[in-house]
Amino acid sequence: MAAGAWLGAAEAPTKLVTAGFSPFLISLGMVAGVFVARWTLPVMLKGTGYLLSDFRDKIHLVIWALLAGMCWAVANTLTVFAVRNVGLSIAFPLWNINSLVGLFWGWLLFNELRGAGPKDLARVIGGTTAIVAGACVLAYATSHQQQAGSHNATLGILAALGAGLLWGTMYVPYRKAYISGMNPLSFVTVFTFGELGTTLAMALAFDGGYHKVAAELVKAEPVMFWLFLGGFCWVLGDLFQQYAAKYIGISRGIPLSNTNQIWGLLWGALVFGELSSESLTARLLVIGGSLVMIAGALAISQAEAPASEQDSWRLASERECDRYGMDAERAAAILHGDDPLARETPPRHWLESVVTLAAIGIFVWLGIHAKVPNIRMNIPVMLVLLAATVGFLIVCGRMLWKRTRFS
Amino acid sequence: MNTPGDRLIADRSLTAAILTDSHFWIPIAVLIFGIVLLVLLT
Repeated sequence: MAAGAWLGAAEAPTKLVTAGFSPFLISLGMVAGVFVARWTLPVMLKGTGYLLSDFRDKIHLVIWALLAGMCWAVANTLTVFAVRNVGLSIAFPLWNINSLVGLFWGWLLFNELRGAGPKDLARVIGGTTAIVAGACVLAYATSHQQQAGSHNATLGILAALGAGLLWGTMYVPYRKAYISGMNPLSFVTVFTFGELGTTLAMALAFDGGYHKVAAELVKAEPVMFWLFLGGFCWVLGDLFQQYAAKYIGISRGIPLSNTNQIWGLLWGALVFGELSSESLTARLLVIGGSLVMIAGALAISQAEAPASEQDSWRLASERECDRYGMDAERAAAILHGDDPLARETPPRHWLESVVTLAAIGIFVWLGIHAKVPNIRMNIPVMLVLLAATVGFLIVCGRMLWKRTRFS
Repeated sequence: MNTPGDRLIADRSLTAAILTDSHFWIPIAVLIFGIVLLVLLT
């Protein structure tokens, strides 16, 4: 749920970027912010010694983390084309199948939902379907149909389906890493290289080459802070999503974090007044879609994996340990929040402070050069939403720390 | 330090373990599909 709040909040700063920049540049700016934050937060929370030890233990996961980052970037670029060709109302529901794809892979490859009772099964599958359906209603109500040629429309639909397939499959490396006992903070540190490298390659390939991208980056300097801020919020949401994938599995964690659309909508509608020109029907659809999504999230949150299902998870974890020569008992302990590596980690290096200060410096520098666009915002509502989002960070972050020490 | 990762690299079985892992080819195939789609779209 905290993932949903922060992933949704990440949309707010990007709404301040109103000038005519290409979607590739906006994506690149945000991913660059993600890269900076992804390097800094894990270093601050666990230290480089811990992160390196974690990867030395599970060296095979480097390729998986890079692969997941590449899947994310290609999916993200596909959504740009999908929206261009068929419009958001058609494209969004199609790529939102990612949670169903994730649910399928979780069941097929990692024994998730096997051993679950019919009640829990109904809650997870029903809840996921409700979240997907609610998201479709929201997308339909808040977007405007676009006309497209039939050839373009077919490619657009394929692009949206491809994005859903890629994002849903991206959760395979996530789960692979976590049943091996990897720390999400270590995983995202490498994931971000695959993500930034591929996003940069996409921008260079599809946005006019190096000189054009470089010129656009210079032009975008006044708005870069907002993109970096969006990236920072996204990193916090993504970290919660990674911990959800680790501790409750992708079949439950991913649909729950996909409730970010409600939060994005709250920011758009209540702070930026985006629904003010919409019809009564559209507003009713938004309320109905949100309620369906909330009901779906509540259903999943009540479907805790029973002992019989957790036994099936353990079998999947043992299979990984067997293949890659890891200690199965150690992996099982980590999956219960007891990380032996945290007790063995070498002391922190002074360079870590330099990394942290450099990242803060980048944000401060961009902040100094940032321009606040002249957009009407409802400040009291914004403060309420900010307080709720920060509240999720504090409460859920504290719970994670108490139970797992961020392992 | 002799971690499982070090041992896998030392006896050159790391690449084999990854390449013979049927899970590995699922994201690879989906990624290739996505890149082909991108090429078709541009």
